[in-house]
Amino acid sequence: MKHQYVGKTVPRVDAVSKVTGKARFVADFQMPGMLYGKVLRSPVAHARIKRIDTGKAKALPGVKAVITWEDVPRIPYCTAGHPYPDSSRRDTYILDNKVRFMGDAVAAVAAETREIAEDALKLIEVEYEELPVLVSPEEALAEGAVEIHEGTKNICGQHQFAQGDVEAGFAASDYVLEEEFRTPIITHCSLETHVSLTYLDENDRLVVITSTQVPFNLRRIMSQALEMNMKQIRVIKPHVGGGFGGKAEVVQEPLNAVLTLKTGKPVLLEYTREEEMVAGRTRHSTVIKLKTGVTKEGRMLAQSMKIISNTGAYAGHGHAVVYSIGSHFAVHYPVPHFSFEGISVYTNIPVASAMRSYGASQLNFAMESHMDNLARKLNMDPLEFRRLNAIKEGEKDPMGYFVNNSYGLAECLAKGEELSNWKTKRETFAAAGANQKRKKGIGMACYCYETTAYCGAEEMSAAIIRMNEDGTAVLYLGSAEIGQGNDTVMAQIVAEEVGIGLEDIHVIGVDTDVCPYDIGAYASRQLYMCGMAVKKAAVKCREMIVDFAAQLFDTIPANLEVRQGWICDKLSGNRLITVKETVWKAHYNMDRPRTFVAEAYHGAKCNPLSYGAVFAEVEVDTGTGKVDIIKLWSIHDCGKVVNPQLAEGQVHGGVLMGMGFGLSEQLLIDPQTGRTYNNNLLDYKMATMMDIPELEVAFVETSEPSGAYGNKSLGEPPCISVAPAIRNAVLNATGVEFNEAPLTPERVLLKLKKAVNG
Amino acid sequence: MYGVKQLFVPATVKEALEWLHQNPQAKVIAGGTDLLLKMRNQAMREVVLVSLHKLKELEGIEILPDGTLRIGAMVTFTQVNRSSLVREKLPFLAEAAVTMGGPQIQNVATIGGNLCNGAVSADSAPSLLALEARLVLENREGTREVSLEDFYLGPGRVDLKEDELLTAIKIPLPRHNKWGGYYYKYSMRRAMDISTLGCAVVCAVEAGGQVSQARIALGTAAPTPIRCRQAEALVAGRFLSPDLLIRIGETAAGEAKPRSSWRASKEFRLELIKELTARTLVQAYQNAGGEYRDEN
Ligand SMILES: Cc1cc2nc3c(=O)[nH]c(=O)nc-3n(C[C@H](O)[C@H](O)[C@H](O)COP(=O)(O)OP(=O)(O)OC[C@H]3O[C@@H](n4cnc5c(N)ncnc54)[C@H](O)[C@@H]3O)c2cc1C
Repeated sequence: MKHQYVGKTVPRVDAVSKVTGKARFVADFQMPGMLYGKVLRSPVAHARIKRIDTGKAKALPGVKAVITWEDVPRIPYCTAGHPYPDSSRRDTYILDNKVRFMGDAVAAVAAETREIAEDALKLIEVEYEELPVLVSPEEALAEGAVEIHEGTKNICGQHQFAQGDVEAGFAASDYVLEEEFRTPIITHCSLETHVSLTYLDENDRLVVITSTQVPFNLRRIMSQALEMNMKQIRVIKPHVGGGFGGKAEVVQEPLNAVLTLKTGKPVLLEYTREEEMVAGRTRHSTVIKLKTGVTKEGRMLAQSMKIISNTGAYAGHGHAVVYSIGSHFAVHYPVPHFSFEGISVYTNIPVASAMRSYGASQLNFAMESHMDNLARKLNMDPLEFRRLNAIKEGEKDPMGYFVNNSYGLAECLAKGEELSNWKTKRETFAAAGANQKRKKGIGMACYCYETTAYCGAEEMSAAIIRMNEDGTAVLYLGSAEIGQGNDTVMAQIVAEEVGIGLEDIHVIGVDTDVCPYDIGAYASRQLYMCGMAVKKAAVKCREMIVDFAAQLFDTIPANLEVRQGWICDKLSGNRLITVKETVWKAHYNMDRPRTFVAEAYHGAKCNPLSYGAVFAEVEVDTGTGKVDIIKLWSIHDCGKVVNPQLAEGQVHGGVLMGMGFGLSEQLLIDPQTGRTYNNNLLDYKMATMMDIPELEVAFVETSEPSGAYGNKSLGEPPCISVAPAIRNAVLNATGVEFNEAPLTPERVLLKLKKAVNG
Repeated sequence: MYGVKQLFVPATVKEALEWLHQNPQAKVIAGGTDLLLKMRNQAMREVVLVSLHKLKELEGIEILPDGTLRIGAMVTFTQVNRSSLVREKLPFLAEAAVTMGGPQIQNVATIGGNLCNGAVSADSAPSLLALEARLVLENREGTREVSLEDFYLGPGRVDLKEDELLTAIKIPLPRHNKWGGYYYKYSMRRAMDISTLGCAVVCAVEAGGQVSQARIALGTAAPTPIRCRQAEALVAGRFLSPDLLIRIGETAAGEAKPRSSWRASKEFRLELIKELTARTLVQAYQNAGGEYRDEN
């Protein structure tokens, strides 16, 4: 079927307001009498609070409230923004009498200005009884280690599973390789930090304007943490300056709400960048052990994986991330025998939680590095080795989590091979000679990734379309636009299905007072889940309009259809009336006036796999350890592409994120004190515009039968295989295996020197 | 947010110096790209500021009658880069200027502020050390000149009195007809980054191809930016060779005193010093018209 809007690049619905600076983000909302919140952060990584004296702070002119753990409800809650039941531990209090990482919240102040609030923080006197600081999982799991959360033995979560007989599989293999991989703490670096504005409306309801990916789950969690019913809370998500998983969580809103409840005033609580990078969220650092048995011919027979994930001081999404890693582990390279063991450990470092790809980046770095190391030992081309072992068309997920009904992996590999000129480069680079100081290499990696949160969480989205009297429309979404283009693609679907123009649609999302429920912006699920809900609502809407038109023309709906904004006679194709005029006539109608409001929800028990591959060409400067990326090819099977420009933009952002993970980004923590060394954008080496390499994006468009338009996920996947592709290119260039990310110049140079000097 | 108590904007250097004399606790602000960061981080509060923005005497780039190049302390990195005089006389300095920060920072950051701030990573320091630049310092009592090398006293400390202003940087232009320079900034990113190591070399080449003289300077390799005189002595009068380059690098590494920090280990920094000193020398030599086939 030919589409008018779906599959086309259309301007973002928020493009003009954003480029003109009119789009309002949380901190742009100013209210009369608004106060500024500030949080007192712990200077030690682990301690009991023996005494807090807020007297002097409260006495400072301009200070309206100072709160400590004694002023907040003593209700533990789970900060992970998933639907009920909580997917992670309830281990967080709004404020507690114990601090668990350097930067943990100790107290909060609301004052007339930021400066007064900051001064007040300095006047709060706190006496700490310090406890041993546990930075690494090894320390935290040691016999007799002090418990960061009582009764947990510092284990946030743990699980294992197996199929077949993995030991027998290893025994039957010609060759077994066991290796350890390490991944760093990464942080999201959203342009907009965590920020909320809370106030009480004229009915004393709590209004929370916040930068979030999960408005409805946030409301539910706040209602639990504050013991209020949902009617008492209204959550508004305005424009959001990026989330990447860091805002799929309730990080600071309940604390701000208490400041508002204490003062009765609007309070703006905005994290500074330095604060964000300590007290926001991070991606789990992991230690991954992979063991694989293969035949001489390169066929994988058995594989085991053990992962230790450092979740930091609080669970956040905690072990749910390791569940996700486990679910993706067995499906990429299905083997008859496999086993998995995962553990998430509490330590006294900043809280690790959801971040773009939800564990798949760590898994993929380890797995795809391991695959290249294996291929090398087998003397096989790494691409061929993958072809031999990767999931095939129609092949089932051995664990049954995912469906494989639209399969583009093989084609992604073929496209990458062709675009990157793989074969020739593998040969010429290898032949280029060992003596060169700058060595070229080419490498690749591939992935498969989920499209929904099912079955880790329930899956549901909903949409409401209300036709205005003139045939323009309002689309109410629970699914959160956070910069990725959600509102635009949803509007494209309405335009497509109802038969009105894109410019005729106004999107409202998200205001929990008026928008329908949605589980949130994560798991790369929105276009797939909410897209289907919007399509259903739009079809309903169109059917109602056609119904009414049939009455106008004394015919039956089955004789009519909508084409390019017109209601036409199906047989003759004659244009009878425009959709818009029909809507007008329905609203202003003496005989049978009517409205068109359609609501639809979509619940799914289905999780299709998306696929993709990244090819990387690099040059390694063996004198300085620098890895220059000459070109990257990023190829994705996300089913049908609904908006090519947005899709490509999504890939660009993901590639940069993956590149940072592979080469330069890592949050560094002092192993003794737990202090974060580099919580600023000077010392945390996120790429700048000048560091962006040449990038070619390509799509392999399969058609996913369960997607509204054949589409599957693309939100997270582009960040996944970049780091291992670069790493494998470095291996190709230098012959040295780097099993720890990122490949910083220091790490590369020192290891190369060691390899040369023996 | 920044805690500025008072801002004074003098119209002449004389007025500024008088005011500084009366208010020794005041802080001089040029581009503010170092100072405002410190104020934002609350390293300073209730600050009294003296702005140099209206001081015409601190602007401009010119050749003095004695043949030295004078760069006003308020000249920005962008201005250094765009100056036709600098491009003609010291082309490598024009290039070095835009290795710092990014375009926005280069537009406001001044060369005077870069030096007075005293950071060991200051990107203008190695090139100016290699050029044997001298600084003109003034207070109410008078004017003095110090070499940039002597200006650096220790980590973050410079020979600048509370009531003094740096008014200009004076660079004796190389007289040799075959000379060249190069600044190698090594940082983790291509923009918006401090240097892990900065290396500048100015070298003159004889007609026969020997290096007649080379000056080698390093930033972020010791508590202050330094000259590597032993390495310089090693190269004077010699032809470049792979062996010599290795020895130059090792000698420079011996003169440097890098330390380990979470940003980079001493071991790594020493490797970089060895490699980059040699590379920079080769580049400067080639810029001087010397011919050397680099195996890289
Ligand atoms: C994002 C960013 C990136 C940066 N990147 C780099 C980089 O790559 N390389 C680098 O070297 N630096 C970098 N910097 C640091 C800074 O920009 C430079 O050191 C700059 O040259 C400082 O100049 P300024 O005019 O802004 O100095 P200011 O901040 O105004 O002053 C700095 C210090 O010098 C004093 N001072 C200034 N002028 C005079 C004078 N004429 N007489 C007496 N005292 C004076 C001030 O009192 C102050 O103590 C960066 C800064 C930022 C914010």
